[in-house]
Amino acid sequence: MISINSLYYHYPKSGMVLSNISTHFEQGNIYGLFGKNGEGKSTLLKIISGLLRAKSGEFSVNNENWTHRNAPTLEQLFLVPEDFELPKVTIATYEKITGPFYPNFSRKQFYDLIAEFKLSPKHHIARLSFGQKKKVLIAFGIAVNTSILLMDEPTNGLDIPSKSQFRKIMATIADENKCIIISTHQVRDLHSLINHVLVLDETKVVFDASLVKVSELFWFGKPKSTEDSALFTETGFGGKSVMARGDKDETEVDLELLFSAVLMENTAINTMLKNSTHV
Amino acid sequence: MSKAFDIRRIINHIKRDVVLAKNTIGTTLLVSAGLLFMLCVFAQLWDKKLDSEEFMGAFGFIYFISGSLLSFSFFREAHNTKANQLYFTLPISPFERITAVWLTTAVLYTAVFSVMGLLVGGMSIFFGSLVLGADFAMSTLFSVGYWQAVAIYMTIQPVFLFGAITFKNNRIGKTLLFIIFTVLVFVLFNMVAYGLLNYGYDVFNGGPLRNQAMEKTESDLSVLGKGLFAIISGPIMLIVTYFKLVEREA
Repeated sequence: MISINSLYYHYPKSGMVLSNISTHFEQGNIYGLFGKNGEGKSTLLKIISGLLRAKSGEFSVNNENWTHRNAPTLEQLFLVPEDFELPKVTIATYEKITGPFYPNFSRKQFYDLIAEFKLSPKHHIARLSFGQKKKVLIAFGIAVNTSILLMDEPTNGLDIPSKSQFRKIMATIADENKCIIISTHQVRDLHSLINHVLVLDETKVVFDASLVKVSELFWFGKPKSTEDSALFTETGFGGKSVMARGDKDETEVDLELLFSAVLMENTAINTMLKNSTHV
Repeated sequence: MSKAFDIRRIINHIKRDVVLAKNTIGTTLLVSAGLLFMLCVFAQLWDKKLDSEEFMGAFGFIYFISGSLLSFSFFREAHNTKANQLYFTLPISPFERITAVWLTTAVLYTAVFSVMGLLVGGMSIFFGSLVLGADFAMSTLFSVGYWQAVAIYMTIQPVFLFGAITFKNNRIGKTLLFIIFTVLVFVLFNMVAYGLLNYGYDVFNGGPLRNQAMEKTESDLSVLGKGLFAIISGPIMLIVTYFKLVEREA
């Protein structure tokens, strides 16, 4: 679906933001794109959506070379940016003037989601809070039914109940024809939603694995015995650890712990991943 | 799979632009209608009639100024860092987008303004005949002057679109400066070319030979010059605007 090979990017008069990025995004998955602030998550999403042009590397979307934007490919992807400004019209007018650009747009789905978010088509977008505007855009992004949905920090600005609502809605729309990439530094917000993790650090992809693989290989929790050697342990009293699973029972993947482990003990984590692939 | 060029996307973009700019369009048309009506009534005060030249003078002036202001109100989203992500990820190619904006600000605007001009002109004549006792002659509204005004606007308007996409701030002022600079370069080029081509004919000493040479040059090159100017400020500026838009998109 999206194939990236040896991609490099830097902003004018700045150092490298993304170097030698090679990865694939397949349909039927919800990807969590993690990284600290300023590690290039938004930049990668902008490159995928055609807003930025990679300095070098091969890049294709739906098997089409994506070095030059084209409308048919743009019809198949939608970006929910982190910071955005919607036109100063009512929600209904926004739907009327933007929906027709997307061939698979569903008005019913849009208005169902708007109602679920406790908004009304008559609401004027200019008078909504940032969180409410984000809900409008999330609802629209889902209703366009594009095969690729990119979301940059979608939970920023949402209150706690809305974050949970967001997770539920996203879980219902995921299907085998869609590829959803959600970038965030608030790892906990994507708990039980994503099925693949990609971590960016120091301009590179430092971890790229499915959660099924992570569950197979790693064990998360407080070790019962001190003899168990942890790959990574949280600092502080009673901190949880990431360990090689071995014969232990499967545990729920702790995304925050995994993220910290990847950043702190990258070599050990990736060596395990690599060895498992070669077996 | 959808097509690389699709007329529906152009229509969708025109609808979107018109809805988003409806306040600007409405205000521009209302102010223009008011001004045109006042100028037409004023013209009937003295000779109790509104002739074609008087109407076209007022119509052409307001049509040109309003059109240029309207053109500058487009592409605003392209310069807004918060709005341009959604603007540029809209599924439409730069060619379709530029076509949509040109059709709105040049063709659609001309059609709407012409109808508005006809109505306002008619109303002013009716008002003049009732209040001022002026002649009632609707046939004087549109003439050759109308087509000249439209041709001039269509020729110059792409320069305003170029200014609208190129400059982020003070777009009108910077575009006017650009026009003045271009005209100066054009004049300078003409003077240098005239001097180089006619140097050997001793046309710089004044006198009848110089005047004759100037007249001959004017009559020989005026059509060519106008054509060249029309091509530069019309289609070429539209092409430049297209590339500016492509540059802004990524």
